[in-house]
Amino acid sequence: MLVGFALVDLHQTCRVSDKRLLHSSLKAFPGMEFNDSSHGWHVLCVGRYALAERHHAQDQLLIFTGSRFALAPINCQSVTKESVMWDYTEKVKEHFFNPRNAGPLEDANAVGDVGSIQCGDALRLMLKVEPESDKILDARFQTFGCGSAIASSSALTEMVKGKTLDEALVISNQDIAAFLDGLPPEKMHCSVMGREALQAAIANYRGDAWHDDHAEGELICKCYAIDSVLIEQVVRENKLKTVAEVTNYTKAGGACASCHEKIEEVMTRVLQAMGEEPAFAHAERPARSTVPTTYAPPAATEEQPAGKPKMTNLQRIRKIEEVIETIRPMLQRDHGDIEIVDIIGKNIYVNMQGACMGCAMESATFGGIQQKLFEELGEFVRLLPASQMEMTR
Amino acid sequence: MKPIYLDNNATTCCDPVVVEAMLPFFTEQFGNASSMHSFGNQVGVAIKKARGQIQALLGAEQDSEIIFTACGTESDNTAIMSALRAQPGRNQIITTVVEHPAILALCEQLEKDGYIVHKLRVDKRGRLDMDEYRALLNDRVAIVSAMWANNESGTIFPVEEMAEYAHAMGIQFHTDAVQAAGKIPIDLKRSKIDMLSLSGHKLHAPKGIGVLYLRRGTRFRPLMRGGHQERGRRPGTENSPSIVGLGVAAELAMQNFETENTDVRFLRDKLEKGILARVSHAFPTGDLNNRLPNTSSIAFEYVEGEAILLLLNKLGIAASSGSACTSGSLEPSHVMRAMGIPYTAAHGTIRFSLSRYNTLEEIERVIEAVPPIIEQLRKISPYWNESTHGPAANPEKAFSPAYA
Ligand SMILES: Cc1ncc(COP(=O)(O)O)c(C=O)c1O
Ligand code: FES
Repeated sequence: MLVGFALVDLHQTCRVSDKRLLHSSLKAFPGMEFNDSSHGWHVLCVGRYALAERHHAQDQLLIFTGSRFALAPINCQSVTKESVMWDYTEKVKEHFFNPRNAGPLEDANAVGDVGSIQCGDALRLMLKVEPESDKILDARFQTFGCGSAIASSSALTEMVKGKTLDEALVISNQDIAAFLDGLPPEKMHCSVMGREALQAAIANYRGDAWHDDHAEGELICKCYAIDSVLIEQVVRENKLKTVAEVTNYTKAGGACASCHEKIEEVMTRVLQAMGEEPAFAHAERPARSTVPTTYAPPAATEEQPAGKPKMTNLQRIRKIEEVIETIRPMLQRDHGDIEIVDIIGKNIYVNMQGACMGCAMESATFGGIQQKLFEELGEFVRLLPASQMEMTR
Repeated sequence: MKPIYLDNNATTCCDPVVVEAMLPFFTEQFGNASSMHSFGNQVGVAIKKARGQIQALLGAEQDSEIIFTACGTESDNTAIMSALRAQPGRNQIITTVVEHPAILALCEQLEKDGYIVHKLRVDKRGRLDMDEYRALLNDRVAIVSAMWANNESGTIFPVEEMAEYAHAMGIQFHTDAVQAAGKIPIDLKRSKIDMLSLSGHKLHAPKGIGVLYLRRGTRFRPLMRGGHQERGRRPGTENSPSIVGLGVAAELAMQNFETENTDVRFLRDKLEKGILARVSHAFPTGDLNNRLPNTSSIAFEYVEGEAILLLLNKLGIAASSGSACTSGSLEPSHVMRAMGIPYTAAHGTIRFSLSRYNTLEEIERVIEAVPPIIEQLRKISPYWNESTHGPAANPEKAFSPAYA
């Protein structure tokens, strides 16, 4: 039985679960009421946000994102009124207000200076390394930067202390962000700066030259934290001509779609420099309605998402059915159901039944399922109620 | 402790008198001003009254020169788009580098569409060069748009003088007076200003209501097409509660004009002097002798603005910052950069903007609160040397990180 739901920001969730914190933070969300005796949460994610429902007989969180559909505990401790204001987790705020290891380290033998005053971020990381064991005995920092830059620096010093240099080197910027229970997309560069300072400090200790190979562009897609540099790169390397293709390669533009204009601008710039024209330059219809068909698989790496070969119609329909099947149990738990009525081009018409109908979750559910379909199929599709069939045909 | 609100250039609280005046227009007076019956008629009368109140605030000759819109941004966009559409032979725009995004982002888009945009530069105090301006005026210019007062530094531009020059060349002149209205004297009938933007939420009226002043006889094309409301110049059923509220707010602004220029100015000066006396390596930005009475923009060197705001917020003090981080972009405020403020200071600018609701006790509390915050952040800044209580010797050199 559903007893309540809350909006959860996915960028602020992380792997570690602390149920008590989760409960208190979800409760702190304005307008929420919960029954404390139960401890099951049911979370439905749409783009960056999630709807969390609380169920009785369930003691895990059900996370359903565009790319995953799994039972997993999540930590939503960031969902408080204030973090909505600053978009910062409690942990970020805690490390900002009480930074650990701030200030110069007199006998440092590894120093890394990174950042850029133009960007308003600069960090000096100072380590004391024991030469015999390569162990980091002490770490301190000095940072010029915003709340999350200071928190990331503080987190970094805590994370590296006691590690050997090689152990420290495997710390990624995501690890730093995760240590802080997540950073808002605009602030991910703060964690990148932390990792770079660490590399620079270790290079300094070992007598190597350290070169920054990381360029950062304008943040284009806030939903997936994708900047212009990455988009430029995939467009250039793969001669991408439509926004849908860019979405397939990078995810940028795959959620709220408000960044499509900016993506097109980046594409136009890159393609024109190559003497090419984007598909939308003369398109009568929006570019996304062209099926991203014949592009070559992404260059070399498997890390690139999508780039899937085109499916036959039959395979496509089967795939759509498969996705819907995985979703049904969740809806049935709410005494609802979903059924495919027809598939016409990009439009998938469904009947929603039972408790889902008209409930506050319905439109969110639609968005979530659509996202999931879109990830699985590697193409843009629209999920529509069957009642709209006549209207759009 | 009661929170202290010093961010009135971002938005203001709605005056209780304004709220009270609005309430009947949600309930009994819900009619559509265009309707023939008495429900509508009374609303029509109330809107007319509000139009007169705005007319008085702006010193406009006719009340029909007042067009209600949904916000300052809409008024700005309407003015520029109208000038371009109404004068197809003219394809140039003159504006300034320090305008609000409501003008600058539109101009950026218009440049992509092939229009030519000239942006006047400012000196290190934020002032325009009138010779540069006059040299740019030519018969291909459709419109000049310059803000009356800057939202970040409070600097006032000589828009009345600029309008004279534009008028002499037959060029339309628009000013964004969103920050100026109610704080500095405006008498449009004595000026050559053709269009002016105003926004309700900056003068204790609600959000979502704005005004475009349009001088009678100015060639005009509406932004939207629709019904006959606002004589077809801004179609769409009138937001009657907010219009009534804005009218009352305009009247209050006139009554409080003196207060803004005496009491509020006194508090602003006290705050600025108090902070600068206690914090080294900090300076006020903008044209100090010619700025809004409520605004103080202080650059704190070697620390970052968002960090300052977070710590102020913890003490219940609300202000705003020109730092890159608060906007999510990497560049610090375009206004601070345009004035040539170095990066080490531009990222640390804090804008305190007061209103007639602030008190002396509040200002004293802020003066006490700021110095320890700056000190705390400088302690951990790589550009600062704690032992000498000054910047690291030659700060840009002492700390010059890889990747810049
Ligand atoms: C100078 C200036 N112009 C325009 C605006 C936009 O006004 P509104 O928020 O009503 O669209 C603002 C408000 O931030 C402003 O300060
Ligand atoms: S910003 Fe939402 S999809 Fe890109």
